[in-house]
Amino acid sequence: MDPDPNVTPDPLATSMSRRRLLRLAVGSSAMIPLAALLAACGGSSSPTTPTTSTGSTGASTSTTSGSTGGATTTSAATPAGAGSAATPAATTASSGTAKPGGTLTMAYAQSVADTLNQHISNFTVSRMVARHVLDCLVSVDTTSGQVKPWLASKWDISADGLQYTFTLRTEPKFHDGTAFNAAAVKANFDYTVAPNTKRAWAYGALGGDKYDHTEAVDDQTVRVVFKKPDVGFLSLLSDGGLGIDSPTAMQKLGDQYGQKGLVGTGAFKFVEMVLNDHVTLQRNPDYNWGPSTAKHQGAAYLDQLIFRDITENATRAAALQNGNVQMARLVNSQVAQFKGVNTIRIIQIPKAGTTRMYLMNSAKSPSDDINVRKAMNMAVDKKTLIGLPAWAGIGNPGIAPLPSNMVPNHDLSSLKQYDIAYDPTQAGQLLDQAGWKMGSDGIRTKNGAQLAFDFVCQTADIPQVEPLGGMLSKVGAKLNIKSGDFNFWINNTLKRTFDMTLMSDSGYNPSGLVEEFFYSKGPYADYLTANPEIDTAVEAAVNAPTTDEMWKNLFTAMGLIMQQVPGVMAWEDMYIDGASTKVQDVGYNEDGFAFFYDTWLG
Amino acid sequence: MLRYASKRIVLAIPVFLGVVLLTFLMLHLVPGDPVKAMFIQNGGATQSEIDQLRHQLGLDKPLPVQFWDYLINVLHGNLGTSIRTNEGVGAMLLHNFPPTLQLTLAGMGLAIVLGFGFGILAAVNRGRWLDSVSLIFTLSGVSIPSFWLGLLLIYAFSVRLRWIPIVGGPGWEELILPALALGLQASAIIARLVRSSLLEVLSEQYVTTARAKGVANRHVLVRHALRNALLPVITIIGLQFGGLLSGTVIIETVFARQGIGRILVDALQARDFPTAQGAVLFIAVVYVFVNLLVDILYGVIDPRITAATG
Repeated sequence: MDPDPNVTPDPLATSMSRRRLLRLAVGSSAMIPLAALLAACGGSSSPTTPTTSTGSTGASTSTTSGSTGGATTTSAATPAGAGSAATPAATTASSGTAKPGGTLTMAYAQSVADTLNQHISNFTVSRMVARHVLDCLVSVDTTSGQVKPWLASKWDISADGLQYTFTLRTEPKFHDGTAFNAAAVKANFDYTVAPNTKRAWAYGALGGDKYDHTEAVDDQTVRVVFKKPDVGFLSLLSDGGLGIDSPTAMQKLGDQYGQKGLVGTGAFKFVEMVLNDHVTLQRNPDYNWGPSTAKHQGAAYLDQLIFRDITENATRAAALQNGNVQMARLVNSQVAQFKGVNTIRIIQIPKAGTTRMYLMNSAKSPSDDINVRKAMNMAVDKKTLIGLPAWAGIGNPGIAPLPSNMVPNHDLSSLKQYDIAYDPTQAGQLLDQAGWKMGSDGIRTKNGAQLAFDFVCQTADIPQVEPLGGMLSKVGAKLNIKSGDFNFWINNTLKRTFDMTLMSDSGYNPSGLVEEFFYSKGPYADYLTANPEIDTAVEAAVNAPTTDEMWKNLFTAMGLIMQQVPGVMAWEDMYIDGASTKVQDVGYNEDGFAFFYDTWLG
Repeated sequence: MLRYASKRIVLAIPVFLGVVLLTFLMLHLVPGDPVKAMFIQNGGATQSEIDQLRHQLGLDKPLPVQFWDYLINVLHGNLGTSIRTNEGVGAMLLHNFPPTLQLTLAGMGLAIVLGFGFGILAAVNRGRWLDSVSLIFTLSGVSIPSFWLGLLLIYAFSVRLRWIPIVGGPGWEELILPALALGLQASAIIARLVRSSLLEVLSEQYVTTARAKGVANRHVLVRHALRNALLPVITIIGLQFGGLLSGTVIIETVFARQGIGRILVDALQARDFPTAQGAVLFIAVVYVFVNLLVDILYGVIDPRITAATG
């Protein structure tokens, strides 16, 4: 830059040699962003690898398919009694003696999307938050799958499965001082099914069209009556979505209930909710009626519990790492970040719901040919898939539409005969026999058409779809990924304008989940042509009067489904939580979400 | 001056109407049936519920009638009701505006301080190393995406150095990094404009005359040069304010801050169109208002403008 001859040099300005200029230019490169980069570099914070533990879950209820939460799942789940789904360890390991005190902040991407009023909310995480304020009639023991007492001390089920009679405990009291009794339970269920109440998760969990009415037999006895058997009802009563609210509080706050207040009998009382920011709860010192599945009775240990919304995954992980929050829900790609951080441990929780499936449209070429569908199965190496960065080694190879953690004794061995093993050589032979000849460009063709699949997915799922493209290309198939937001994906699946898609749903309702995708009248049954045998088996499972009957029919249905090869049962998914090592005794409910009643800070 | 200000206010009206028209059309430009899209995201609905919402939103009426109703509602301050929370959109936006305004003003303040600082340094040291430093600063500022910068700042100052909390700290501490991430790009633009504008003014004859009369360089700069160099910079600052306001959409998400930006992102993801429309309209109206203030401020700083145009 030459000096402007019209500008008088400033006597305060200093002259500069080229060498000094270069030195200072380099030095001045430590601008704020670059200074940040230098500050970010350097040695690791600690040499020790973190503890990884496996939390519990069993089958549970909740959100939608794909990678974002939102829509509901329906219907009943693993019933009580032997043969129920069970998972290891209901709580994480602890060290030391439990002591009261402290505040724990748990970060979710979003704690409450609309309201904490579970009668009208469709959002899974908010049910999990509300469950700390609202007690439930029963609690699922995630170790055994058994349904255990909570607000109900015992219950009877009629022989025809149409009547559930609960005996209620006398000690519980609502936080507003009003009495907990049969009338309160009836008021809750009446409100859920009332014509003016927005239909949400709770309506389906209560049985939907199968539900008839609830009677308050006396102060301590309540009877729920169904029109048709609903074997999953009892387990779903353990979900926060069917927690019991104070009818007085609901009436008092009206439309503001669930936003300006939430009143239950729970171990924690509602303090405040700031939508899209946080929910604050404080300990209920009078609490002495915890679930029989808990490690202790009496008041909770934590003084305060805060659920904080941190939408951005990287920010949530950073908040955990720097101690701003003590627990956070993470994604697969973040597990590696915490290797070497000895103040944080990673907890993996089997996700309740379906297996993650690459489903194929059997009404459309090329996947209308069962041999093509079989060949695509043979082309997918599930173990290798799970080892890739997008999975970070978390999850298990899928076998059936339901994962092993959802079925009794985790035993899918009777369905393994229908599982198609990885065999790319045989895949090639099968495609040759089906008339798909390998082209010079590495893509098979038949009658002038390429063996190409339009894969419709949500943008966030692309990392778990792209590797599939690589595997299919080795057998001469091509994958065209078409991605968009949730609505784009759902619209395409409902209109059947796809060849393949990544699908699953989460929830604690085995028969409902299978019905959702593979029953010909199910909302997302867009993959298979209608099969009367599958429909019959699914109907029998959904309407079964006992759990044994339900599982028998479900396994029949799953076997038939797998023989039709609707797609690739790719992997059994897991939730991942990061927790400070100070956090002890984190309990997990059947949905795979933390329940902090037993939790304390070391 | 009053006549000048009145003229600017009158001219802002068609701009406002244009903004209302565009936000109204937003709903109709969405592919597919927006009402069905709202329900899909929020758990499904029966046909009667869909029809009810369609009627509630007025989507069963002819388009011009719909626009007229929308305009009348907006003029009465009625931005509709969130289909997620059933809360009034207007009340929700007003409640969340203060944190967004706080962040925007902090970002703007930082942008002005850094921008003027580097710009003045560069202008008075033209051709020297400080000028080069300023160039590096401005290039970095306009090149680095705010999203990436935000994450980098979090990692450096919150995770590695632990100087600043991400969430849960005192209000002012939590504002530092988001304000920096938001304001840096604007400061770079302001710095370059201050430099070029000041250089132009410093070459004027009256500046030479002032120096010849023995006025100290600092006084020449502040009393004579800077004021005249301000005019184009103020215009840019007004435009930058709108950019910063819309930039809060990203920054509030990255830093988990409350505000209108977060509401807009959540509303779009949940297909809560009344809320999304309301938020976009709100931001646009604030932007129009700020630029109106800039226009009026122009007249205050340079009386020649009001004389010429008033």
